[in-house]
Amino acid sequence: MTPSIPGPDRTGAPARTPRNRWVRFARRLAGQPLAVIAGSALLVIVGVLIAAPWIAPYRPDATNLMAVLRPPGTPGHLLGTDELGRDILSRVLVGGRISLLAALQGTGIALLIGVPLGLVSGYFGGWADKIIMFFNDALMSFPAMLLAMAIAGILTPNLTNAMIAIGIITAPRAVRLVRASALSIREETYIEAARAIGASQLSILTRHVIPNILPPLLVFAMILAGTVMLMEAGLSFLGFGVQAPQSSWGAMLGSSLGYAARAPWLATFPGLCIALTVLMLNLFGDGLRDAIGKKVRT
Amino acid sequence: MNSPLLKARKIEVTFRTRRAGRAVTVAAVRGIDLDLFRGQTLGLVGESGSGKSTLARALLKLVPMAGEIEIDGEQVAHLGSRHFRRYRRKIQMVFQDPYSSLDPSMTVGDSIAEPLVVHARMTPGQRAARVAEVLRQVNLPPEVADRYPDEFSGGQRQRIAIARAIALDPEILICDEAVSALDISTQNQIIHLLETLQERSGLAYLFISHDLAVVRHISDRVAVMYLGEVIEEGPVDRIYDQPAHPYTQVLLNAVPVASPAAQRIRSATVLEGDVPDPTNPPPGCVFSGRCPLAMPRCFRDPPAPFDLPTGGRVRCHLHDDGPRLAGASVSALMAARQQDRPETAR
Repeated sequence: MTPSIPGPDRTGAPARTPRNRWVRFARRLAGQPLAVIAGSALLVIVGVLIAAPWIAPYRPDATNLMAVLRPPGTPGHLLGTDELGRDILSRVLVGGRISLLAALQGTGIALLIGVPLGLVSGYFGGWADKIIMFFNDALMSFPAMLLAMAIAGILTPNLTNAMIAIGIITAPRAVRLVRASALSIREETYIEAARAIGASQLSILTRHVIPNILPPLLVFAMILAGTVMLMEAGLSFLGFGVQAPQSSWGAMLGSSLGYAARAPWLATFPGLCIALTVLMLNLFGDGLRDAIGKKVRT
Repeated sequence: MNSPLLKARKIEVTFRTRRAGRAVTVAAVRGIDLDLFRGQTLGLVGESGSGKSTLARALLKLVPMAGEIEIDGEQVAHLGSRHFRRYRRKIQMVFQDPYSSLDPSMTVGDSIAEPLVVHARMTPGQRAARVAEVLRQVNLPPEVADRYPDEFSGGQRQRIAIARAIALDPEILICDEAVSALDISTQNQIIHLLETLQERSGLAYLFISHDLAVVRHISDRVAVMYLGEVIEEGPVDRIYDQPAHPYTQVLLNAVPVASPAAQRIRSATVLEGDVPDPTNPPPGCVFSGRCPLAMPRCFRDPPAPFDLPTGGRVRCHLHDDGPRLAGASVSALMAARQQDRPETAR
């Protein structure tokens, strides 16, 4: 074979693609109208909830027995009042903070438990994997809410304990996701290349495995936050979650039960808030997933 | 010749797998000896599944292996991963697929700097300078260090992978099908780059490929693998012009020749059957089942390495079993065999 070799090519990468892959990721996300709407809505919801104590017209626990069960549209009470004459708008605003905090707590606990276990299970495999997956499958085969009630009931019923319970029962989903990602990343050539260089297992985990699990994990966290918010509502509705005088959207639903026929607006507004927020979390999570999935190899 | 940079003896790799519910052992590499010399290229050829890549991984201790490896005169095969680590800087690898061998979440600069982080005590400034230097050596502008791998073409990525492999100034570079995934013009560029680097720094290459033309071009010596064994080894021109093993001859026959006249004259031996089951290798010569020149003895005794007067070694009873060849070459013998059996000739 005679070498017919052209000179070295000095063509750099195409100049138009932005450098940072997070910037490019954000662009792909921006290309999806639904995800943009959901993301903006989430920002508004979170912003309003954070500002709630300052923008709420009344204190959420200020009772007014002169004006109980007023319907929405009553002057001074835009969304009406409940059985103790508390302003529903104020309660929805301030209660939302609790729901949001609960979603963060529950998701955080699930990830805190699930990510390390999933990494060990997926990356190292072997006996650790077998043991972790055994308990994982066992935990997943229980009805989730029942188990959460049992755990929250054994601990004293309060919001933090309810969120610990929810974190524990949703952790197996995180374990599964992280394990599956780690399993596929483990087989990538760049992991073998890192081993060939002499990188330690710990440095391979932190430098190569975790950064590549991060994008799908982010998507998962969004969708999990929605699920956790629903579960918190369920637990609080049943009385295992937040305790009076504090209130969350779920707890408001619970306490409205006795007045469902006379004053349906008691349940309508917190219910709408839950539905809307969870919907937006899911839509945004889907958008994130698509923005990651669209990554084409050039 | 001076002493080899890397001397491998009796390298064995066996895998345990399950087949149809039964545990079986696959002998992927079976007792291979290799010598790599400074500034030289050893080509390693063989069909898929012959154990070429497994051998490369064994030399880097990426798979559990047995045997002896000597690097610069020091025995390293028995070392645990912690102690072997300091030899890794001398022996680096370039992988086949430039799309999966670079971590997509790291910038090119971080990827190239990773071996420096692991092995060299350098300040971030020194590392950046070294990254720019090796990028220039592979003919890429230093600015690409800030970009991510998915912004580059296959050829550019392979340059980046080479830059990463030479960042520590290794003595040995294992190229595992390093140009096979690239198109022809890009292949030429990468081969040219590898040759330039070798001239400049005296690197030794173990160049694994199934592309016989590329191997002939780049290699000083060539080893031919079949079913986990090196069945023939020697200087590149001797292997290509006077193959001593029937399998080598068959491999060379499979390469089309540009001239139709030359193509017609060549013995058109086509292999019958498949590569034997590596969980149950034949008792005699590994090639006996498919060899057009097999003798009864070939099915019983595995042939020992035989030193050829023309250079190199071969494992074949044609050479050590009395006057079988009687001065004839393996290719002449095979061509004659073809004429005896016209029904299989084209």
